[in-house]
Amino acid sequence: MKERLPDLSTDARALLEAGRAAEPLPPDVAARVWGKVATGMPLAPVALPPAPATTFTLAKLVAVSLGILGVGAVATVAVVHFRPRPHSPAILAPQPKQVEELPPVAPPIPAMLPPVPDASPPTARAAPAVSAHAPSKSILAPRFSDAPEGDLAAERSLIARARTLLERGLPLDALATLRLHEQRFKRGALAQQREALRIQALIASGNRPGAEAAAARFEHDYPQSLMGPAVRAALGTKR
Amino acid sequence: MTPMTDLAARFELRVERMDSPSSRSERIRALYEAHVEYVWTALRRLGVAPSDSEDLTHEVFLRVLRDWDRFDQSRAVRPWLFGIAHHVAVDFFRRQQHPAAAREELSRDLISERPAPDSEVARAQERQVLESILLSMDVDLRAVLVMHELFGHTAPEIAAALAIPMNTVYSRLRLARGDFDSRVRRRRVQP
Repeated sequence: MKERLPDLSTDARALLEAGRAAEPLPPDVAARVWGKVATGMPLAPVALPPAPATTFTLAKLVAVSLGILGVGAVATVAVVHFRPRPHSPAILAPQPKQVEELPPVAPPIPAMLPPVPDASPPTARAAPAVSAHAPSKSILAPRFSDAPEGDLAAERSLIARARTLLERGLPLDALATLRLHEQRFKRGALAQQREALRIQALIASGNRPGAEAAAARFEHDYPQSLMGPAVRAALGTKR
Repeated sequence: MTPMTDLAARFELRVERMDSPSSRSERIRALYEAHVEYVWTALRRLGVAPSDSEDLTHEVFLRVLRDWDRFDQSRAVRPWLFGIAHHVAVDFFRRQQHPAAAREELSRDLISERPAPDSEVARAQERQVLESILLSMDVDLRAVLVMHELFGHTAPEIAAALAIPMNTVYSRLRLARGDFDSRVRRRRVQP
């Protein structure tokens, strides 16, 4: 290709040479991004609650799932009472700094939420909507591709909000937010993350039958999901 | 991960393929570990600021997850990743209405202070100048120039990654090299 191309000046060549060096990627950033990729965790920083009993249970579930996925760094942040499981690559090593970067407990989240259209019990509404999904045998279901790219940020925002509410011990509010996501992005790119969060929120709200039904649908729709271990751990079941 | 080594050597451009580990999650993780720094560097060279690179790297890998099943694994993975990074960056610039003019000013300032050779600071400054010049170029020309001149991808790889015909790759590369060279010369003579 080169012989047909115009020559470059010495200065231009020098600049291009400088650009061939890799841009250093901080290990804590690499670990953080992987945590988001592996768990579908959105970008917004999530403030940790002051560890009530429900949160402790949820934290344990998150720890188990993330340990399985080998995401110790995220587990370190999410589960302050648990020791992260070891994993080999240095790039994903736990970074104590990550804990320090988390903001203190934020102002009350519910005040920042958009109005929830319907406050009826979550499980009664969630079940038929989920079962309406077309079955998908892949964690990367082809149907994900029908979501417009521009919606991804809005999706992430809603999922982040639901996750924050769940971690604050507000599972019903989290379920309401997840229903909102479902209404807007029924087959969105983060639908799988939504359903996994829904199961955790149902358990946290004390609705175990609803959680088990949702988990069965999840296993059916996403049999190879990376979040499968987390879902099973949440219910205390094995495949 | 040792910084500041040559991309062509580090990334082994044409021999890398996705291995076939036992499970999908392992493959995804292996893909991430092997290529996240490449994606990060690609985004930076395409003009994404460090403060935005984390979010966009995340977005690239979300799209990787989404498109995983459609990826032809007989192809080199890095050009595919670059194509995704390019789309993500272009979408981002469109949303941000990127202030290329301001970056041009920055590059003019930087290039007028010729750095001392062989110093780390000098290399960093050169990279900043390079980034700002690249940012002032047309985004399509920029992508082809970065892929070929910085990452060493072949014309067929570029064509596949950016979904353009081979002739377009060649013509864009000719234009890009000419444009890049003239911008560098122009900046050198400006006070």
